[in-house]
Amino acid sequence: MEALLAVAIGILYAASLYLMLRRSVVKLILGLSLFGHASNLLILTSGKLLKGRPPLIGDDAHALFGEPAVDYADPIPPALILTAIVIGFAILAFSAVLVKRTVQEVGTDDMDQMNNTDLEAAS
Amino acid sequence: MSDRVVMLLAIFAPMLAGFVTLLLPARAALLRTAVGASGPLFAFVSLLGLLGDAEHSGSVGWGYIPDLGIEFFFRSDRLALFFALLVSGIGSLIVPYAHAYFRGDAAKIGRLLPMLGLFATAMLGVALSDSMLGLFVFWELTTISSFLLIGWERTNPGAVRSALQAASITGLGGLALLVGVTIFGVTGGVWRFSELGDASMPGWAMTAGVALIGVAAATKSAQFPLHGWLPGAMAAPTPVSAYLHSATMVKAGVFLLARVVVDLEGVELWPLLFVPLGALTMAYAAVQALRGATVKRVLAFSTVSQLGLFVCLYGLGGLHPSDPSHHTLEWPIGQILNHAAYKAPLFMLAGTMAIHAGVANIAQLRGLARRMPVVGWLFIVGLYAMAAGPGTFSFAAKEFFVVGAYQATEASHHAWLGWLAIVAVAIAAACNAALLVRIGRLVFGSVEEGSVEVKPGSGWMWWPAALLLLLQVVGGIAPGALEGALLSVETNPLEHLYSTFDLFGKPGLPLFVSLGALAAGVVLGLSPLLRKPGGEPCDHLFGSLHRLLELVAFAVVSTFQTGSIRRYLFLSIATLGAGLLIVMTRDERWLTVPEFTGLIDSHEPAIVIFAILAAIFVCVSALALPPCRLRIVRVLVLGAVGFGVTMLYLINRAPDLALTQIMFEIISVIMFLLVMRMLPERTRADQDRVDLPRAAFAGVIGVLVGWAVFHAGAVPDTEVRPTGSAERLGAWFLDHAHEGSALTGGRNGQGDNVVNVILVDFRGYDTMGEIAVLGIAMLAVLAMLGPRRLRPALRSEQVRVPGVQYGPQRTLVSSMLRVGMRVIVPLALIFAGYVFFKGHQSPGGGFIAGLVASVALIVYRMTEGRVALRSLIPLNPALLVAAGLAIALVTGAVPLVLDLIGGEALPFLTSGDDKLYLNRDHSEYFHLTSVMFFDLGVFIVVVGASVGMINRLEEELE
Repeated sequence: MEALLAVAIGILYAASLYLMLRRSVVKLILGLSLFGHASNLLILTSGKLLKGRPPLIGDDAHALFGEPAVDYADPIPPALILTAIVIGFAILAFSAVLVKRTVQEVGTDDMDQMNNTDLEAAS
Repeated sequence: MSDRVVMLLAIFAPMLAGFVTLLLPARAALLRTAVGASGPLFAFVSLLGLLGDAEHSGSVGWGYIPDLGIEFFFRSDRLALFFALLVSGIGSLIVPYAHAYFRGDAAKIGRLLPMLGLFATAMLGVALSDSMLGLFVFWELTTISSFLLIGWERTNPGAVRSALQAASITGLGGLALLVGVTIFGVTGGVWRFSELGDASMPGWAMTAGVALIGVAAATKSAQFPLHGWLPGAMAAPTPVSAYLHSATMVKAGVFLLARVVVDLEGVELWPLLFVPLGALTMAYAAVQALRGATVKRVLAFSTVSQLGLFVCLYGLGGLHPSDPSHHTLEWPIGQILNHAAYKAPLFMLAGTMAIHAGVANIAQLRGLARRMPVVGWLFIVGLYAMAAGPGTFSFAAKEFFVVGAYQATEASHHAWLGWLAIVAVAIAAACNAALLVRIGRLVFGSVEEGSVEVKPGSGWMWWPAALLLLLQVVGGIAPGALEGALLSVETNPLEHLYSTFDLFGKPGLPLFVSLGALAAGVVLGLSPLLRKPGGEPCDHLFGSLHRLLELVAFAVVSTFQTGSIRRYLFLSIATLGAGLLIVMTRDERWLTVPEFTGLIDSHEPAIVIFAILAAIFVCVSALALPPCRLRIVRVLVLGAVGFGVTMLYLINRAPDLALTQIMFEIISVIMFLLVMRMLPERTRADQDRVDLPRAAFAGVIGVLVGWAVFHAGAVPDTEVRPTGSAERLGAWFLDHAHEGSALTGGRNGQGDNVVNVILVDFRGYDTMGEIAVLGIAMLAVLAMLGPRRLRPALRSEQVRVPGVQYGPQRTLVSSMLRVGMRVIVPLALIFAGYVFFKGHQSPGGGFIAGLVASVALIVYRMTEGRVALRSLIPLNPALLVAAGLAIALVTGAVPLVLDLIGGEALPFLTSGDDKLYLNRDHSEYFHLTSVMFFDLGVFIVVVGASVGMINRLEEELE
């Protein structure tokens, strides 16, 4: 499973970087979105993909105290990724609208023409 | 009043008095001066009261973060009190002198007094601080106030440059001090000077600490080659030069050495560092003083020379003569007092001459004794003391320095340092004597044609100087009168003070050196040697370094800060990739193909097939995204990637993630569809050709990261958890999920869904911040889009063709979708409620429920329009977000005030719960938990933020 995810993560990173390095701001946000997916999967994999049940412990789990809990998948990576997904969405929404506004103000979607904070110089 | 309060008041009195002057009437210059002088005077008097107990003073003060050594502790031992009395005493004299110097100019005095007050407070803090970090704070404050005062003439570029130079050099020294004391604190556990002697530190830490404190002292006390800032500092008004740059601030470095010399003099480096440094500075600066063209420059260099003597003196303290009854560090404080008692008057008199007779250059001193008799004579007396002429306090001081150095030549090792000090002091003494002869000849020389006698404007222009010079004379001829006062502050006192006559009764090498140097100086003064005024090499050192720094900075900036976002991204990623590559090449294991355990043995075949399909789906969609040109296709492909990732989450036992991701994916697709419609399509930048170099770069990074993940995944479980699963953090959470964060309360029956328990209970703070981010992003989106502008025709929705079904945007909406949604949306909202209430026990929770509800509402908005949504949720989405955050905050804050209702106050966001039994035999129950309210806040924020954003984006298109 790790090997499979390794390939997926590598490809996601490559595609997202390529998109972000292009001239178009539209591609920048597409790349940013892919980047989030890649990083989330990376966190998931780094927590060791345990074969086991989802981390939902039932009522019978009281007897589990003190025993090794190998039967369950590690709950920490999902908890971290859940936060990351929400923040990622917030950033994505913010940057998408920011790009929209920028294109509107500057009059171009070319990143190479956005290397100045002065509006006149950019247009 | 306790000692610590007295010290605190004394330290801050000058600053407060200085600031109070700002509130006084602008024209009342005299009143302002009186108030300004009252601060240091108060400090002086109140500190005098502590002098009696100086012997038994302890470390008193207040802690702030004691664990980190951040505290404000003060000490009133002899050294601290002496220095504080010097600062406050001279400060009380300088303020009235400054009033006279500015001839009562209310504006200038008004500007000067707060700065002087700030400075005096900073210096008193340096003197009295026992905490090392406290001393650092005050030390930096002296740098800041000195910067302000040197740059007094704000429009003069020379003065500004000098101020910058002083601030840069002494500021760097302050950083060295910070690092030095931190080394002491971290390695030895001492954060106070009074504990330094008891600390045991590794050798390297001692050496490094001493070296760094040496750097700090050398910058502040202007040691060669860092002394360049002090002559430059003469750009400040003369009262400032007299106070800061001769009497007090420049002695802070020396004071620092005096503070630690007793505890650190055993360090091998101590004498080896400070004796040569001080000796070199002493001799070099004395020669430069002789070549100075202006009065203030001469005095500045002679100050540098004298500071060299102090550093040398404390350096010699580290040498232990073979005869223990002798000590090389005799009279260390008297030396400082001696210097203040002649250098400050000289500066004051120089100021008087400049103001009233227009004298700035040495050559203009000609005939001064006739033009300004009082000032001229006092000036000569001061120079006589500076030259350590017999009959002055200075003579005895110099004599004791030579005696100490002579005793150092008998030290068991490094005896040559003693000889070095003797040679240096002889050179310096000769130069000072030569200066006296030359200036004396000018002052008593014939008056130039046309110049008339000038009267000093006010007695304040000369009598503070005369008072201090009186100390010199009394101390030289009848020291018995000062003995009581002086010996009470001396840290290493002789039994009694010696007058010049006593010393003449003790012939020996020291006396021979003193008198020989004097004689040589007289000859040098009459000779034509070293007569030509000139600059010195170090004048331009700082300027050159500054220019070099600028060049480097420009080179760096023009390489990296190009303004091109793509370049920044490239550089960041390339650096990360290079780091990864370096790590990989250093360990051979990275270069081998890991032994791979395979897919099949760990999972059921059906899941494996599903996983492979999902991975292929993700990879193909990701690779298909860059070549896509149509925006709608792009959005759909992006959504496909997200759905593939959702499947991967599901396969890897993370149902919460899968649910969250799929909901966000739906909202993202809708959001992108809306945003893309507002962006230009098929532009030149967007449709450029395949960029092979960048593709290759991205590919390399992808391979690197993939390879790293591949290897990390191949590490066997045993290596990840060498001591069993109980050590794993995840296992801990699994074990304790039923208890929740109220671990000590012994409650049980918290959540079964460990991920949700972590989110809303253990890591509640994270979630709190996360919903805040979501809310802020939404507000930012609303702000960027600005107030909505709806077209009137659409607002009333009047223009309709009969028989045609219109959507809210005058676009056709599929009837099937519309009708279907009328059924599905209510069901989805009910499902959201179910997910919300079950979230703590099974996949779900506030986030997921909020997302489900958001998707339902967004679809409703799309099919039914803005007005319909508005009638369903009559609240402003921004208000919803605020309400959700408030609910979460209040829920978190309840445990804090539990003690009000008879319980025990618990930390923020502690949760509690109980079972709500639904039948008699207690077999059916519902978990009632306080995190549900927190989750409710999350739910509302998520709904408000996502629906609000999409709604606003749709309005943009209407």
